[in-house]
Amino acid sequence: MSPRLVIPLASLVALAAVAVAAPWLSPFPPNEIPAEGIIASLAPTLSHPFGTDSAGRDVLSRVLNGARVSLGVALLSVLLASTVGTLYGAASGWIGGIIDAACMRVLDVLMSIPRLLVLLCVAALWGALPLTGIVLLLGLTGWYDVARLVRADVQGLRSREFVLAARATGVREARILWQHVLPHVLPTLAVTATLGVAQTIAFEAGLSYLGLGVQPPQASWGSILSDGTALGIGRWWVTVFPGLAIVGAVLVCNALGDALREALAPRQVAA
Amino acid sequence: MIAQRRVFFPVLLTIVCTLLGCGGDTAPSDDQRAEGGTVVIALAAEPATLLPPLVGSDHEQAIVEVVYDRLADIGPALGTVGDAGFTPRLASAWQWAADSMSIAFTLQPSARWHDGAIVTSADVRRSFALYTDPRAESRNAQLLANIDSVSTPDPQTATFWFKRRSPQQFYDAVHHLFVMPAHLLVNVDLAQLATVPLARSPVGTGRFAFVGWTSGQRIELRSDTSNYRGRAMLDRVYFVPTPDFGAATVKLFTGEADFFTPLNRESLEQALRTPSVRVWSYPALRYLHLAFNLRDPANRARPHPVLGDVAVRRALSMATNRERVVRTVFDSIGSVAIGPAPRALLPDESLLRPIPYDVDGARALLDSAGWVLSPTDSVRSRGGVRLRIEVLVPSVSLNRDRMAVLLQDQLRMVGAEVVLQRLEPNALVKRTSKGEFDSWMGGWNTSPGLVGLRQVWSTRAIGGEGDNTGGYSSSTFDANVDTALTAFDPIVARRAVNRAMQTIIDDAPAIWLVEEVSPSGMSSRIDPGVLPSTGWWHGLPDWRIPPSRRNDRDRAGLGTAN
Amino acid sequence: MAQPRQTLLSRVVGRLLQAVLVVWAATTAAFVLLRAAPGDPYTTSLDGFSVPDSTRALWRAQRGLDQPLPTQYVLWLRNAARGNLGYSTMYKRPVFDVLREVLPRTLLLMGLALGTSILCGMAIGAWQGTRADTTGDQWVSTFSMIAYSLPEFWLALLMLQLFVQSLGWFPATGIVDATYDLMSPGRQLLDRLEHLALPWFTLSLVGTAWFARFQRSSMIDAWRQPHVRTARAKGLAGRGVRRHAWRTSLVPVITLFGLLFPALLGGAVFVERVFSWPGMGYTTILAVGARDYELVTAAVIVGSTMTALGSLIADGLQQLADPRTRAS
Repeated sequence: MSPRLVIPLASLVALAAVAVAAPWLSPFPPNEIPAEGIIASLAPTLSHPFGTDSAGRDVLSRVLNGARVSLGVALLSVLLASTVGTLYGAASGWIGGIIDAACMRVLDVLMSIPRLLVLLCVAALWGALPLTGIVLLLGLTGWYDVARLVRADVQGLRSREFVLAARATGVREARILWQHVLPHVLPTLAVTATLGVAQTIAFEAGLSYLGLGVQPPQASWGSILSDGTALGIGRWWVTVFPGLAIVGAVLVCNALGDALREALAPRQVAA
Repeated sequence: MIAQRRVFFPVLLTIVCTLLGCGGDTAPSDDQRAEGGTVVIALAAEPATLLPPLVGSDHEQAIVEVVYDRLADIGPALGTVGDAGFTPRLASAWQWAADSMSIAFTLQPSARWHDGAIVTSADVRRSFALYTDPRAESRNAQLLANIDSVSTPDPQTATFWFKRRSPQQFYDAVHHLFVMPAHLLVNVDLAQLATVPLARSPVGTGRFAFVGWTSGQRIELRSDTSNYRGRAMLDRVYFVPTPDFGAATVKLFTGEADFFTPLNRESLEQALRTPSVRVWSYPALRYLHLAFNLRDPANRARPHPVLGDVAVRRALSMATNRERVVRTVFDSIGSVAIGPAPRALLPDESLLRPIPYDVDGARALLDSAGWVLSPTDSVRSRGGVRLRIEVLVPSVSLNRDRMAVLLQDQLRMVGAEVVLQRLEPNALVKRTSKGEFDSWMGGWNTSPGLVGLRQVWSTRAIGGEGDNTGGYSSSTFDANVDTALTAFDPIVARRAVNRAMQTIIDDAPAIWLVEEVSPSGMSSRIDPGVLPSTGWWHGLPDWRIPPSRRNDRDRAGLGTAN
Repeated sequence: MAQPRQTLLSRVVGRLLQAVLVVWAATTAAFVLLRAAPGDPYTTSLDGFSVPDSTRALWRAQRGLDQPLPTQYVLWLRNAARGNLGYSTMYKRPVFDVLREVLPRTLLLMGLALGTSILCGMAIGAWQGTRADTTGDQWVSTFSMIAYSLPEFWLALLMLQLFVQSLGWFPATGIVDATYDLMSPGRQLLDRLEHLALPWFTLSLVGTAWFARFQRSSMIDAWRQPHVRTARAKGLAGRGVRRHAWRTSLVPVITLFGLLFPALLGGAVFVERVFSWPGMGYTTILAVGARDYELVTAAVIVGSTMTALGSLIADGLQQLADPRTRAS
């Protein structure tokens, strides 16, 4: 395995491990506003390596716990999106014909509605969304690419020999789809999902920054940023560190997705 | 850390600049006039309208108040009884009728609208009509409810006719009404009042005249040099909407803006360290509280299972260290509130006795009221009902959030379980107006005259028509407030105010938390005089910039036609 | 040659119909969702005194908010067809007037960013493509990947913190300075550029990285194509070959243009928010908080229309660039 695959993969695993272990790694409680004794807006020191924010909360602890929220939301919503997208795309590609054409038209329409605007509307509609709501929202607006790619794959596979053979031996259509065709779709899915996680982390951060995503006292990286800048832009550590966390996570996922795509793509046959 | 000047790109742009001839400001470098200066004010939001009856918030009020005039202005003592302390504005004098059922205002003979027309009493009458017509959607209509009509015996006299005599009738007639030009309000569809041109291009009689409004960018005012009261000291004022708090403070500190309010604790500290910015505080007429719902959310006819008991409410108040909460969250920009009115409006606030901070006393009170702890539960209960309260907190206010968290902690100490629910303001208001809440973290802006007491806390204000969403009802309080607002004898009125305030403090329908002082940041070259409680903008026409302190922006445009 | 033209025509018509469908679907969804929201414009502001319920009911009736949902919707559709997009309760002006002011500002920003992204991105990507896997290419790829992973709003925040607050090189917010009217024309232009610089840069950076990546991979593919390799083997002049390969690589990149549009729109919203650029994105955010139904609905429609148009244009360009797809 090339280092281009191993390094991002290892980083992602490390990131996930840190996120899971966050409560034990955090020196301070991340979301409680300290009653007394801690100075707000402290520059980075030994006891507060990332400084404190305007309410006196330790930024390092917040970033560590924010990893749980940000990564968790991204992973779950991408899972949801992948599931929905695969079902939709596979069904559409497999059935073919008019239904397929109609499904694709619907998909085109859905894709043309800017995701952010939809999310702005819905997030404002329900106000303070609970985490499950955000996951649902992100998942249900992020499946279009998956659907399209899976459909293309399934369409291509539909006329392959092993499928025709299976059909000739009397295996039921659904079973063929489920057992024989879908596994071939997994590589595409893996790549899309990984890139989707990257995209969702960034997107959720942006939403939370606007105040429409994760609500206090829970904090995702985006809402830590929004807390930090709401009261004045002077404190660079509240902006830089959570931001670096976001960039790091997104970068790792992008790198992994790219590496996966290269590893799993069919080789170009030289003419 | 904050740069004070703008540094332009190097070479390339300087060349471009020279080629495009942008050195063209031919301003005289020494400008020794007493008047002069250009001020940029960062507003917290863009005004939606500049038509006085439709104005709803501070940033609109600020502009309207300097472009338009009232008949008379309230004095610094904020007295609202009779006409004591009021200074003439658009009305040069007034005459009370013998039976006090009408007041005849004589208008300033030299007053002119900014477009040159003469001010007549028809303007006053038309303005009153606009304010009070229900189709016009004016929030001030109910404040003018005591005025029956305005008559115009001659072009220089406007007579206000009242429905009842009241100590505040002069204040009612004068304070809530800005005089608008009738000749620009002809054939106006009242249902579409907001679309009238005057709403976006105000024409008034104030010392500042409106010049232009570029939506989303700036509103420009210039000094009215032929004003009956004399021109404003500044040449020009720009209002720049900057809804982003962080960006607004950046503008203040880099000198892009000359004034911004309110500053929070952090930017206050920064401002104190920045020599180009000076901090001015003015006590805003505003208080914050944790309001309780005294009625059962499920059935408004029944008292709240937990908070309906005054002992519980008093105990919760006793368990709260309000000093510490205010100091932690607001530090020097807030003081502990005494009750449902800011100190500036209370005549004898030193005579009022707040509920003391006494944690042991709170526990004892709860015990004696039957709310006891069980060995397995750290939360008290009585008859199967737990001492659990949900607090609604507006998600837009970090200060209220912090206060809520601190209170949660303090009340836990006496065995009360507090659950915080953050809501978007609209959603929060919906729940409180329907009575579907235990408590909410909120507050009120008040006006001089203590009408707020009746508006928010009287029995009459319960139900769909009013703001008494917690259902507080005390006949003692109601009676005393009524006396306070209608008694002509100031001593009787004062005593009634004190009794009403003490009653409501003792009944504890809320935990009275904070009176905010609103610090504002102003460029240190400006000399504003004093910032009054009625609004920082009140003295804007008298803000001065001494010639020695003027900068390029003040001198900009001096070479161009005014 | 009637046949290909007919196909092209039917394709165009089909695309237009689809665009209309998109707009309608977006509008309907937004309308229904927004009407179901808690609260409405006539709930009290948080701390002010309220007006009586009866007056508020009057206001609701005036605005038609008390009608049943289907009636409101039909009324709304009819108005929209006439160009009346409703009344903004936040700005107290017709929505159309508000949009007319704010949309051009967003289009300016997006247009500049798109242009820069395309030009720079294609240049970088093409350069990379012809030098695939060299050190230079790898470095640029890494930077590209980092730039691509930056959330726009964070980049904007950093720019604000660094270039405005710390260094003071650029103004904090807005399109022009408050004293714009008093400036000489040259100074005015400079002022506009100063205010544009940071949002433009922020928005372009991610777009450039995107374009560079895609241009690079499709350039690599094109570079390896048989006819290009033949040309290289025959020893044709380097630049001619490169340009030829570039043409072939254009097709996938053009499809990217169609995808970049909605992404750029989303990015513009964040950038506008951070820099308080009074464009459509920022106005929409404010409108959402103020429950200004009509304005938000109109924003969704406009956004969807722009996206649909974007893919329409992308499709058209694709037809032009690749003759092979014309007669399909």
